[in-house]
Amino acid sequence: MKKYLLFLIGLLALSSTHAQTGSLSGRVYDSVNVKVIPYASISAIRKSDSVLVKHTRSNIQGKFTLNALPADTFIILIAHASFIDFVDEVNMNEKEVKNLGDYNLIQRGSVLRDVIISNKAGIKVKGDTLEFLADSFKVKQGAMVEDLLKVLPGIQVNKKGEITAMGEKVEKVLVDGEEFFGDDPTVATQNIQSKVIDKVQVFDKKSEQAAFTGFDDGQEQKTINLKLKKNMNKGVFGKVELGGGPDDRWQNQGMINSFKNKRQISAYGLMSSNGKTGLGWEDKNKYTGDGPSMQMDEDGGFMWNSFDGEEDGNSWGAQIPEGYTKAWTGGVHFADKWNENKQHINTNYSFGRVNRTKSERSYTENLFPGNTFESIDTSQSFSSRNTHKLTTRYEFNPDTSLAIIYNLNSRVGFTDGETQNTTGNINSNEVPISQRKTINTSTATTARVNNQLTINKKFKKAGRTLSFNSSYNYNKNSGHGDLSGDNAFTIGGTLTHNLIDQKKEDDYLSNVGSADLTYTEPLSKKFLLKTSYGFSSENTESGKKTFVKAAGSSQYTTLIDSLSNVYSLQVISHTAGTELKYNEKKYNVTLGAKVRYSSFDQHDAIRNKQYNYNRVNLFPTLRFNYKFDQFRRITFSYSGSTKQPSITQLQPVQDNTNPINIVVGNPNLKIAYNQNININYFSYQVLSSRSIYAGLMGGNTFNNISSTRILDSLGRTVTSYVNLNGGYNASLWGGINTKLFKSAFEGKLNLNGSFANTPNIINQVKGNTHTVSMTFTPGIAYTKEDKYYFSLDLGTIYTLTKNSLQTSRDIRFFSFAPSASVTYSLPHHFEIGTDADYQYNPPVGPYTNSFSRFIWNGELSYKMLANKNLEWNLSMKDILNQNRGYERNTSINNNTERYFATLGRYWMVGMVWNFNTGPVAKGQNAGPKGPRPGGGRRMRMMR
Amino acid sequence: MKHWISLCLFLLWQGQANAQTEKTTPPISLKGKLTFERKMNNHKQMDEMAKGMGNPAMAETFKKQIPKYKTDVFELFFTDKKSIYKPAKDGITESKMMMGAMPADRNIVYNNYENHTYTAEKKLFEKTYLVSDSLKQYQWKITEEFRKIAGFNCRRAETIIMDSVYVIAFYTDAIVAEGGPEGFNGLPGMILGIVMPRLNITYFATQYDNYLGDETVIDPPGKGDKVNYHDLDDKIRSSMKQWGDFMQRILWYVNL
Repeated sequence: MKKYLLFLIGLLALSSTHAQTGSLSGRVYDSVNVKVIPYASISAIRKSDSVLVKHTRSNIQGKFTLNALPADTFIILIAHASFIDFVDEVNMNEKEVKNLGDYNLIQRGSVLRDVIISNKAGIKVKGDTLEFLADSFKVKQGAMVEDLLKVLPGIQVNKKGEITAMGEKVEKVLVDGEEFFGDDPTVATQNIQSKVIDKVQVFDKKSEQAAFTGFDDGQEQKTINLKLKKNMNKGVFGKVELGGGPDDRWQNQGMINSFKNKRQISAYGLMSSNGKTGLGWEDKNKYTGDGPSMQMDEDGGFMWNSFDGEEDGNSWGAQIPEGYTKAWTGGVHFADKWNENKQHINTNYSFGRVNRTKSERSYTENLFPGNTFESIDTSQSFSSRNTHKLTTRYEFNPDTSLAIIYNLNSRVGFTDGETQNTTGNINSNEVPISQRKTINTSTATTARVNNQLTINKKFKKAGRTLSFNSSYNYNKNSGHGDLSGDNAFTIGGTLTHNLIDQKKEDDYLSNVGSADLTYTEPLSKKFLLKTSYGFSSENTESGKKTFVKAAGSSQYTTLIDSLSNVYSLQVISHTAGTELKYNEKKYNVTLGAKVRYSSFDQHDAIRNKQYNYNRVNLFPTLRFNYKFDQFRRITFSYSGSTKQPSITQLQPVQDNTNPINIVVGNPNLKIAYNQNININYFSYQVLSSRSIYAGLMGGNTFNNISSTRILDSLGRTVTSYVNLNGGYNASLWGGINTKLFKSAFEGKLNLNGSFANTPNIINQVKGNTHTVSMTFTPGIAYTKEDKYYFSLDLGTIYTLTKNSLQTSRDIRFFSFAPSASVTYSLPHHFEIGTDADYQYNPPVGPYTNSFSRFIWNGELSYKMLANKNLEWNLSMKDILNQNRGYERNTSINNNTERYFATLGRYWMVGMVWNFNTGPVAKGQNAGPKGPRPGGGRRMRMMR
Repeated sequence: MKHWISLCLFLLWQGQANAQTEKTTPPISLKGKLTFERKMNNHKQMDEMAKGMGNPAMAETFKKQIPKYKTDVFELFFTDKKSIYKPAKDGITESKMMMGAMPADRNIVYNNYENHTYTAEKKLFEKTYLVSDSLKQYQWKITEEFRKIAGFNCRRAETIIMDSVYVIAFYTDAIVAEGGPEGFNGLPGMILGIVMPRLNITYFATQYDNYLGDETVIDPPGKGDKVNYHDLDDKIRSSMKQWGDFMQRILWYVNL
């Protein structure tokens, strides 16, 4: 009887719990061998406290069901000794019955076996994240994060510090999930020691909007997150680097970090005279948001901006730095979370002073129908820029459904510069046509402030979201300067001098305010609808004034109308858009379009003319993603967009910055419509670390805004703009990176091709320029853990340029750019490294001289102290002293060869000291450990 | 069907075996035998006991007479559905402590994972009890630390038992049976290591045999006075009152 009663109570209890609990089911699958996985263990672990709530095994069909799960957030851990652990996060609602479909596990392949077996769980797949436990991988003592990344399977780091993960370029490196000193990943990878790292996580970061609404915008960035060890909470760590050599060469930098729980404080400083500027000053994309804002064409658009081209960054993927640079930069970073992580702030301030001296000489062959002449251009310039940058992001999450985000991006720059320029034009019989000498000094101030406020609200119904976004951008440039010079023309044997003595004043002010509202609604389990409306208002005022001395006066008071203009432009836009997304397990399709109505109100104050016009534009998009599995996918996208003519292209004023190269605007320009298709395939095989990628991009533009050139009777070229059809461009790329012969050899083969057809009008004759460029790069690399590293790349480039105006002058040549690099660890903690780059361009067509350059660098370093925290090094750059800048540039109707000065041979002696005060300094790692006898309650739980 | 499973597992096992040269463990084990080593710190044990009985000085006298560690060997036979844990032949080192053997130091524990039942034969001084109840329940916290035990890659889990004893367990999902030494169970695999700092005891598997001759070795024990968890607890509490604080420790050992 008692038993019976108990049974009854039990039954009741069971049914009552059943009423509020849900169940989770799925199947465990080995997609490589195409079979189900029985006996995998599946655990549901409560996220909040790591408590194991339910667990089960997959059955013979690989299927599993976890019953009686209460409403909560769970970490689902799928484990099987033959496969890499898989971790996923699942949110269970009350009484929810979820089928998660297939979980694809990755076999602990033979190549990775050593790594995983001998290092316990070195690698793990966590949803879409690949995670490496840092302590499981062997690096030299005193190694930096960069050295750690090099030994992780599937990750490569090249000489310049660029990182490739799973065959894709890494765009961002976060520290504990926080953006760290802007977008220059090397600040983190080269300044933080590997032993403070707990985990390295690799994933595709979606844009904020995409992550929130569930609509991919194709803006995924390969991202690495460096999770620091928990015990980094105490003490400070950082790096001091000093280096110097003869001929005024120095490079000193330092970084100090103090992290405590969620709070990060870091400071960074650098001074150098060898071209390194650090801190990724080239983050241009932060200031050019998409949407209705006016496109500013900066090249030649505003003369006073020419020294503010944000060109100082040489740290990340730059070619040979131009000129001689002295830089003093520094910054501080602060991030914190408080109030149970509901409030989050991340702010960075940086300062940079960059002084640059440049000198260059270029030879240009100008081709006009029936007229060919050569220009020789020499210039020397000095510029000094001081820039202050402040970015702040504040996020407030009152509850899990609501987020309020404020972003501030601001930048103030002060520039002084002077340029001396001499240009001579010679006709085909080597008779001088014209000669020009100018001296141009300028002082400019630029200020950009970008404010953005976003409110995101999630509703109870999964997939229903509302997002409000508003922004205000302020952009002001002002500058003044002097232009003096002498223009000499020889026409018909007569020499005419034309002296220039002008003062220029330049002001540009733009205020852009915008607001938009986006709503997403799930129509069914598979269809998701997004609708949006946006409004923007933009006011731009541009003034370019040229003054000369009034007769008999030494004051520059006379305004030259033909060389001046004061413009104002007002654009009001309304944008409405809708997108429909169809979601299947393996693929999704998004189809959508935006319509934009813009009204333009343009006023020319000097000529007192008003231009008013309206435009309606359509922006269709189509995207298709197919994910075969975690590491293999194909995407297709189509997009259309308009391009507004820039204010420079529109305004009918002569820009005589360069008096024999005159630019005239065309107020009748139509808006161009550009369409693009993009197909991308990517696959990565964990077993063999093999990545294969291929892609195709094609686009054409209707009413393309093209330049036209006229060589006038005075030997001057006049450039203007016109709408032209018939242009297209296409590119294709593909490559394979793989381990060779199951050894430590890694091989790669990359192919890039680009094709373009550009119609043009020259001296009122319509023509076509056709260019083809193909790059073929086979390469091989060999890494022996912490012993030696060797790499060799053989780059070969094919270039073809055909111009319908010059049919006999097709330019066709192969150039070569091989490079090699070796580092070798010697006994007693010495290390030697050397690398070489060679470039060869053959003589062809207009380029009568061949060019070759062999740059050879070498470095010897020695590490000391118990933790190898102190390094001494001796380095020599360009040992053969062959470095010089060289560029070939073929455009519509001219071919330019440019030689520029750059830093040649120099040597430096330096030291690097990595410091740690805190638990890590004492060699205590939080890595896998045995039982702690007498241990307290120190738990390291799964997050 | 059963054949199919065996074949499948055999292939998996073969694949693994061919590829590895070191001593291997199967990716999935449905039955077999594990050898465990239990290590106790006698001296610490002494200190606690003496302290519990209000005479700390007593410990020093005894410490000189006994070795610091006592090591015992147990065997655990298992299928995916049931397991039995018992002292190996001559596995128990006889203690030279004052009152002879520690209570409940040679338990035979039978776990049935299908019916969720627990049957244990426990020797407390002169009496033998047969404890029958449902499987013990634990609230395990799963961590991300790993350790290799007897060739298996084991994940660390933690819990607190009897409201006061902190337990670290290392389990492998490669063994389907969800048991472990003594009554420990409830993790997604076999527990190959137990560390209880407060009790100065560790259990670690030292050997795995992929062979189980006769499944009848896994039968519940039958000797002793029949009790359940609650009864046993009551009995100890009432008969050991004079042991003071040390009784609490005895309870912890007995209830493992």
